[in-house]
Amino acid sequence: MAESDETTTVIAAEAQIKGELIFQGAASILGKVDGKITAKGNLHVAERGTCKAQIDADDVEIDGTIEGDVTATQGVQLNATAQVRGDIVAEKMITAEGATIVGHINVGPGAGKDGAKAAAAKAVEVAAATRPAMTPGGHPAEPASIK
Amino acid sequence: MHCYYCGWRFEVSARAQSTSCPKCNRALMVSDIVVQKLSPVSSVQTCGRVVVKRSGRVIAKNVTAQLGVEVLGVMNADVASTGPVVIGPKAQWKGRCVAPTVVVNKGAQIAGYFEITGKAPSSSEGVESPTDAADASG
Repeated sequence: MAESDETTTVIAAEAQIKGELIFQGAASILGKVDGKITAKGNLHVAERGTCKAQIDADDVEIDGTIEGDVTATQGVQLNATAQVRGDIVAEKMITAEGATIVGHINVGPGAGKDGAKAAAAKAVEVAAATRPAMTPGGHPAEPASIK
Repeated sequence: MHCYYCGWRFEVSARAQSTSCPKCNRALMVSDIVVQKLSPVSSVQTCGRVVVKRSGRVIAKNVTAQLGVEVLGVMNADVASTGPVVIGPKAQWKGRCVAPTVVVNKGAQIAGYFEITGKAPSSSEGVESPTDAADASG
């Protein structure tokens, strides 16, 4: 992955985080993350890093373990020690011999952007489905019944 | 080598192009299969490797290769390999892939379910393993 001048946020090896992480730039995960990760730059999951998370980033480099879907608008690089259980959607992908993958892969021109849009649409759909319909008075609407 | 029908393990001459399984008597392809043009077939099976060249295009229901698969052209099939799978930089892949390792080069286009677990996939469904056969015969 190309090195850049911008600072990298590091989740240290001893750290264990539950919840949603949003990185405005590059990030490196050496610890454990459980939840959702969104990065507007490169995301690197180090060899001992473990993510049980849905990941959305520009570029993702994986040396560690990911349980969850990975969507990259640019590229995904799986190194030899990488273990991914989940779907991968990216524009480009490089996989080294020895990497473990169990899941659907959708890689090709336009796949990353379409995948990101699809993920966003799905998130909106899920949010709409789980949110109870509200009446003008602000009370949850009664479910419609057929008599 | 292993029979890709019954999983029986046996030895063949290094020069053999094809043989038959001593257990299930079915014909087996031993040599590598190199695809250089459009190849619309039902299934591709070999105890060797399947190589799809840049101009090659495999459109099949399933592909079974014991020593590995290399795709530089187009692969449109469900692939099971006990050897490594290499997907070239301009390759197009559509279908399942079950293999111990996979190498994907930058620029490849892929759509499908991948099961790359570091372990060789077991022989096809409903077949007895050599140990089972030995137990049954003994």
